[in-house]
Amino acid sequence: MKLAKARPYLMIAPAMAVIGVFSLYPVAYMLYLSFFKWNMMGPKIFIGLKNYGDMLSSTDFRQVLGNSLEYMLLSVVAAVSLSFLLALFLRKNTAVNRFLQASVFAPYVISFVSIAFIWSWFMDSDYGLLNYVLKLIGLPAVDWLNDPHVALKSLVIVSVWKGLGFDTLLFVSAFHTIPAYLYEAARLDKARPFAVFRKITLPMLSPTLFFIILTNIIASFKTFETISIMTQGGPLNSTDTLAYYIYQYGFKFFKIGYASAVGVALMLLVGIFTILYFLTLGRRVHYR
Amino acid sequence: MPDSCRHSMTGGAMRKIELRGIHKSYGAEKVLEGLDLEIEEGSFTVLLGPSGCGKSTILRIIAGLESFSSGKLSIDGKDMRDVEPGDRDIAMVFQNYALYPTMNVYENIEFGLKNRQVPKDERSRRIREIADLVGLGDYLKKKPQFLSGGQRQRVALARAIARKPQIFLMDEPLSNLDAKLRAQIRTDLIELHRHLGSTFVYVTHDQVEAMSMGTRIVLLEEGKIRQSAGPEELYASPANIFSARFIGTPPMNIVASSEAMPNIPKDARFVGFRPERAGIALDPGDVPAGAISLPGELSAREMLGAEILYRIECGGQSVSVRLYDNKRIPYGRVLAYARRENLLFFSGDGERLAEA
Repeated sequence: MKLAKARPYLMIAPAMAVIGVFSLYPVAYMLYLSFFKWNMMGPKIFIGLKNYGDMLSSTDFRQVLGNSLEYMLLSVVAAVSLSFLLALFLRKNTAVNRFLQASVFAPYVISFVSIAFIWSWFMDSDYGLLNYVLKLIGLPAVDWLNDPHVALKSLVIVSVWKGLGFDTLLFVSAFHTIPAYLYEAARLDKARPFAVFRKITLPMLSPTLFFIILTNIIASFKTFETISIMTQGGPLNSTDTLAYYIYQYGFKFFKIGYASAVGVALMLLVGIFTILYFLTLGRRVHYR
Repeated sequence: MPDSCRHSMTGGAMRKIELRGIHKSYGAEKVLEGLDLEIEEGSFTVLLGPSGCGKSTILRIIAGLESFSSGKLSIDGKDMRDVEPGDRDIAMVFQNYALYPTMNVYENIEFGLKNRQVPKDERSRRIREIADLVGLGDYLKKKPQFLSGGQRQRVALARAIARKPQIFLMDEPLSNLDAKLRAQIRTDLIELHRHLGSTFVYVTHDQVEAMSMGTRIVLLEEGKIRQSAGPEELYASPANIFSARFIGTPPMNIVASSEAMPNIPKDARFVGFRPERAGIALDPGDVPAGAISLPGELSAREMLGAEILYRIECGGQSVSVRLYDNKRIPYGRVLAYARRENLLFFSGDGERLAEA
């Protein structure tokens, strides 16, 4: 009898152990470390909330926070709208479309590190492909990665390009789950294209849309490889985002306590965005 | 139904639908080859046939949801080729209802009215009137997913009625309902048709639905019309073996003609008779004079309440006989017989022969 009650818990114990060791423990340890001054070697010195105080009064941190939010906003808007438009275009299941879809998807399976290197070359001011093309069609060259006003947007282009195929795939398959008879009923109901889109297509896609926006928000906050390889946070810290900032403080300056405090801030930020998102848009999602 | 409602829904011109030489194929597969069909205004026309006979395609062509390669479709004499489905003054009830899952019942009914710029007050008045008519008054705020199959069916119907179309198209609207509900909605549809006075075109593979509701039945097989007639005529005077066998449960008995059968036309290859127009004799002497008789083995007996259904195996052909006499005939050797006036004769290719 007792065993029967315990059995389900025993069954999920291995999975829970993995989550505990690799998810819960690091988070708890990060929270713990954020109250200490530590350089990874010497003794941990408890300093209370000082790391948080330093963080909030730091102008660097404010810039980094701003960069992160700008990056998030740009990449979510670009990724969602482009993948949606592309899916609209590719939703008919033809041989050409299958090929195009596979092509768009290809970058998704390449590692971010390789992609970052490829795009570093593409975006090189003097010898890069992009400027070469711009010159060919008679446009002025762009300082893709060295202009503080452009660099962040260049990184957004790279990450959107990489993720586009995946989001498009999700949208295309979501399109295919909308039954044709709904559109037929709408034709008989004399619905104009905009009404069809607003009343049928959009609501039927809403779970997918919701998922894509949320995963893009979370992914944008975690962006690291492109920054590390293509800009190292520069020029003038214009591409320094929270994830890269944490890495710099943790593993370059060995200020583990401060890095942990920023890590906690990042976690809270993502959490707040997620909850806000669920409370606002999440209510309007139609689940079948 | 309240009287005011009746007035608001009838009136206006009723519609006659004409299809002339319609060709339609899906890829290499030809579905319709030169179909000619006329649907009388105000009729309850049922397109009946086995699956794949093209009945749904015809309905969808009338609706404008399906294109056709050649031929002409006109409604009220007007060519429909370039007329959008929404402008044809038709409403359709789909087999799976096709309700908009993100809208509640009210919005589902309202959508078509809104798109046609019916004023708000008029919309709300009409929707409440129709919701009461089909018994949905309490469900207006619910989404389709929270409704039963029967309720969804009613929403689909209400959505169609609200538009006050001159033509109703229905594509197997009862096939997803249980038997009891089906029978009930069948009656409702007959009443509805009488009240609205508009043209109903109804697609089904169920001959019971066709016979019970249709004022005219168009029987189709492989894209061709095999017979088009009122239910009484279709039952009593089938034009071919396909018609004879498709209508009626159990279907008409069709047996090969033989020398032993007295007084039948010489080019008749098959003889048909309805199970209820046949009898069973225990002894050759009991067979009425002039009737054809088939000796066989009584193999099954079904007591159905008012009647008993017998199945007799007559040398490779099985014959059904329906008797309204509750005295059971014992299993064993018997003779199935049918009187001369109850026989129908068919040629070798299954066409009905004129009475000899």
